[in-house]
Amino acid sequence: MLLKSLTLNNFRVYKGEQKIVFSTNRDKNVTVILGKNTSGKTTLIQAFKWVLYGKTDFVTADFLLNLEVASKLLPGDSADMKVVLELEHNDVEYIVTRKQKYLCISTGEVKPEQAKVIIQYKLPNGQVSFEKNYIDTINKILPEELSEYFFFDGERIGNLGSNNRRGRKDIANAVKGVLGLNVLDTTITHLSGGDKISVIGKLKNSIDTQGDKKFEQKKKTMEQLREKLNKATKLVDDFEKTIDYYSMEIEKKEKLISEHRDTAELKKEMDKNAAEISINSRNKEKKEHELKKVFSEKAPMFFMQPLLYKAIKMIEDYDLVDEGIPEMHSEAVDFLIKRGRCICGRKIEIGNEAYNNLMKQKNYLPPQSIGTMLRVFMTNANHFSNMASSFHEEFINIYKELRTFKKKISDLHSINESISDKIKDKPNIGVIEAKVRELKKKLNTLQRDREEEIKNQAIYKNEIDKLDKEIKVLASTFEKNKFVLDCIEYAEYILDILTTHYNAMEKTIRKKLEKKVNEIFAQMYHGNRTIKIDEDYIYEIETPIIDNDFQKKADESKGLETVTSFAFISGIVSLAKAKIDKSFGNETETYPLVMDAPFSNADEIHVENISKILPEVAEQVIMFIMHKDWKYAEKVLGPKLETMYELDKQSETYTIIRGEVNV
Amino acid sequence: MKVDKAKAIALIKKILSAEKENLKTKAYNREQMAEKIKKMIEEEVRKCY
Repeated sequence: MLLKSLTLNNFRVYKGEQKIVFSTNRDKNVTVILGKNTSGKTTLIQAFKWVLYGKTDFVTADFLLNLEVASKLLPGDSADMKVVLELEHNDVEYIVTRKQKYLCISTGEVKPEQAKVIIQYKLPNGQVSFEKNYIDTINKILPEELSEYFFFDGERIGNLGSNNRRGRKDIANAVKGVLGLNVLDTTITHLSGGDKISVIGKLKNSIDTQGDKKFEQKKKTMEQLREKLNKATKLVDDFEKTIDYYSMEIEKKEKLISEHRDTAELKKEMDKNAAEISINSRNKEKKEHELKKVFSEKAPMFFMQPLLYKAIKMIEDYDLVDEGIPEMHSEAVDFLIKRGRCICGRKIEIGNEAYNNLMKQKNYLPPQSIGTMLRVFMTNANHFSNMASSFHEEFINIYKELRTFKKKISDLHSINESISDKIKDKPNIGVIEAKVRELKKKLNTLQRDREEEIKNQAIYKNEIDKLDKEIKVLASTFEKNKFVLDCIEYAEYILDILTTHYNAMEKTIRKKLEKKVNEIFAQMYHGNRTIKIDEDYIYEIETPIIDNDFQKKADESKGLETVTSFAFISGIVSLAKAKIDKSFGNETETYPLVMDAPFSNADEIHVENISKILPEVAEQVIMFIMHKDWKYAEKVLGPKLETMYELDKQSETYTIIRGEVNV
Repeated sequence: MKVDKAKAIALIKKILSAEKENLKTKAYNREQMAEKIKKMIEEEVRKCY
């Protein structure tokens, strides 16, 4: 693939129609677009993503119209925004256009309509045609899974190979496609896609049963088995996708947990403190209740204690206490005398002993005497006085305890507030840990289900093979089927050759890729590390003399990640250019490298090393770069440079692309 | 049937060439392409075996 031009019309800061024509010269294959920070370099790389896949990484991805244009729209007005990419792939010229209309509604709000995409291509005879299945076409030109490698965003670059686990099969397939295995892969699918529309499927379907019921039944069973196998295969595929997704989520979350272990500890401390606050609050409430009780019961006695002392002293001083019966009144004595019989049953008559005793008692009773009342008062007064004397100490003790609880609660609240401040923008690790447990549980179930379906697949395959042989034997008994059976045998023979070749090529290509990536890596990075590429085309950095268990813990700086990613993608581009599989006339395609701020994480030496290698490995290099980085890159890239543009920032909402700049 | 490997490889090259061409021109869909290959195989078997 070679990029020919990019035309932007009202796309973000690029107001009006502005065009960049890229160098397609093989000797001078570098196009540089110079720009200061925030001048719109990233917007250019996002324009590629938008026109090809309808996606961008902007926060306001649903509003891409130039803001100056948008602000001038009146209700009822509309404005068009579009990006046009001209490219060449497999000797076919394509024009990809994605456009979007923006409408200003009655409230003055500007709303986008659904974006439309058109792909035109020139046939070898020069005729221009429209491609209907644009997603399929774009994925054949440059699979979306691989786009982040070719549209390289230096500022956001991560370790692409390690991180991109989702849909890793898609990535592996995409890499294989880029490296020239897609023709073989498509042919194998056409020969035996496992369904009726494949060559072998069609041939088997044309076997004539000659009306033989047993034969017909076998063919029917075969169809059913194939259906079951297809279902099981689809299920396994779905399970694998979901397992990949869950594994990636777990990996992401565990990384987050590990990164925020301190936060988790702080959160645990916070939870412990909250539990202590709760206990202390309950104790505090208990003490408040006790305090109220003591106060209401004893405080009045305490406050009247001085008065009580005085009263007791006065009664004692005047010796006013006598021996009367408490609570007895003289009227009660009069009643007994009048009744003539005491409560003990003795007769009361004037002058007898009982009468005289009662009359004597009457002298101690009110109204004749208040001595008895005073005695009762004295008893109560002493009791109240005793209560009052314990009140002070008791009250102080309870109050002290209450204060201790209050202080403890207040201290714990302060600690928790401070922890809360520290972790307020941090993820809730407890919730994430719970989610990880839940995900692991689901993952186990999915893995069990997948194993079950794999077993089913094997069973169906065995049954199909067995039945296939039986059908062939039965079919061979009819002379009419001889030709079809020969064709099947021939197709299977071809399929076997192609599959063997594909597998061998895939292994070879992967080894060659690993070798190439390491060669490039050695030129870019000065150190002893190497890059390993696994069967899923996921790459990892290996640090020598470190045990396998510790490989992942080896320090990997941002700069190292950038260089590794550069080496990986340069390896793919270089290998694609080398046209490695010539045995069946198979061809690979060349690919461009489009890079935004590629050197933002690299030092001066790495800038020069990377700059030296890129134009050699890629057919076309397009760079959006800052002046300060260009200073170092120019020394090496200068002779390879054909076209240079500069982004001239007029305002926050308007940038002009100025062409043919002399630096 | 005894398959002649050289002839089979020649046919494979023919099939791959057709596939490669179709990737560029997109003239045939999956089923049509399978049919085309089937016919190539049938023709080869009829002619050579």
